[in-house]
Amino acid sequence: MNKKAAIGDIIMDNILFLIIVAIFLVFMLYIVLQYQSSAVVWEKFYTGEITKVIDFSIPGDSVCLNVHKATEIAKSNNVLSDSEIFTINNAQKEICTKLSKGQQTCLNYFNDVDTIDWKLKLSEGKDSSGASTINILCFNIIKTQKKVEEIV
Amino acid sequence: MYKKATGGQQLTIFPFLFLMMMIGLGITAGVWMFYGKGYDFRQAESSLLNYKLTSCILEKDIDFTKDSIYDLCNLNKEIIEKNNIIKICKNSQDCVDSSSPLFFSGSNFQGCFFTGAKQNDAYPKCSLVSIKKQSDTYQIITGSKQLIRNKLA
Repeated sequence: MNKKAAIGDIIMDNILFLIIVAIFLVFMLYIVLQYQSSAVVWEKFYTGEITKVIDFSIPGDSVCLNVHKATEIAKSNNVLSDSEIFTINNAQKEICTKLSKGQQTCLNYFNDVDTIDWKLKLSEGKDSSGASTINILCFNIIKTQKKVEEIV
Repeated sequence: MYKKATGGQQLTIFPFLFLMMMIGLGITAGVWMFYGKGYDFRQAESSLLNYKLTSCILEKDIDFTKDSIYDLCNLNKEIIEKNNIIKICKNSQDCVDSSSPLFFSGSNFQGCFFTGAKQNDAYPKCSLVSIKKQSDTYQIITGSKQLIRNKLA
């Protein structure tokens, strides 16, 4: 009886070890796979570049950017919809990019403008050689809406 | 005797956790070495802000006693106060240490130009530009402390 109890304890200890190892492996695998698809690196790149474009723009500008690489990575990572890849929060002046499930990368822009009409146009752009089509992200820059409301 | 053995067996969790920690650190270090520190946006943002302010001062007459600089230069006050630092001096020998600037937002401008702190990510990344308008010299210091944020989504 005593021996059986001891065997039970050993099995329980080993199961505990195995559970910890499994959690650890899943966590490390998640991090490595995210980097392997370069999602984290490209998320940072696109968020930074879009923020720079918005900071540099003035109301009335129309912007179209080549986001072909971002859409390819998002598709390979099963990001659910195109509208999830790039999101904008005009109230908080924040741009977010999501190229993998579970996380997004965000930055604020200091330019006091709003961006509207965000459209991800698939296969509507042309690459530098003009031979093949690419995916582009287009949006318009307007004066910040808060100020318009205050004036009204 | 039996109790001692059980205690010893339970203690094996510590070497086990230590081993996992070392493996985790090894993988993290490998990924970090391969991909580098990542994309640091702050120097670019600081230069952009400096360019916007420089153009704005050259083109417009700004009343620095009020907060009109934000409206005239089309800058969002809340975001600037949260992520950036700005100091503007007129005819000053040393704008960084000047106690009477025309305008300032934020603090610790000395941290921008510490020689030993260039590799330290805790310090903001800054830009300093001098411009001449009529007979006056303006010094504009801008800095960014905005780090890229990862959110769960």
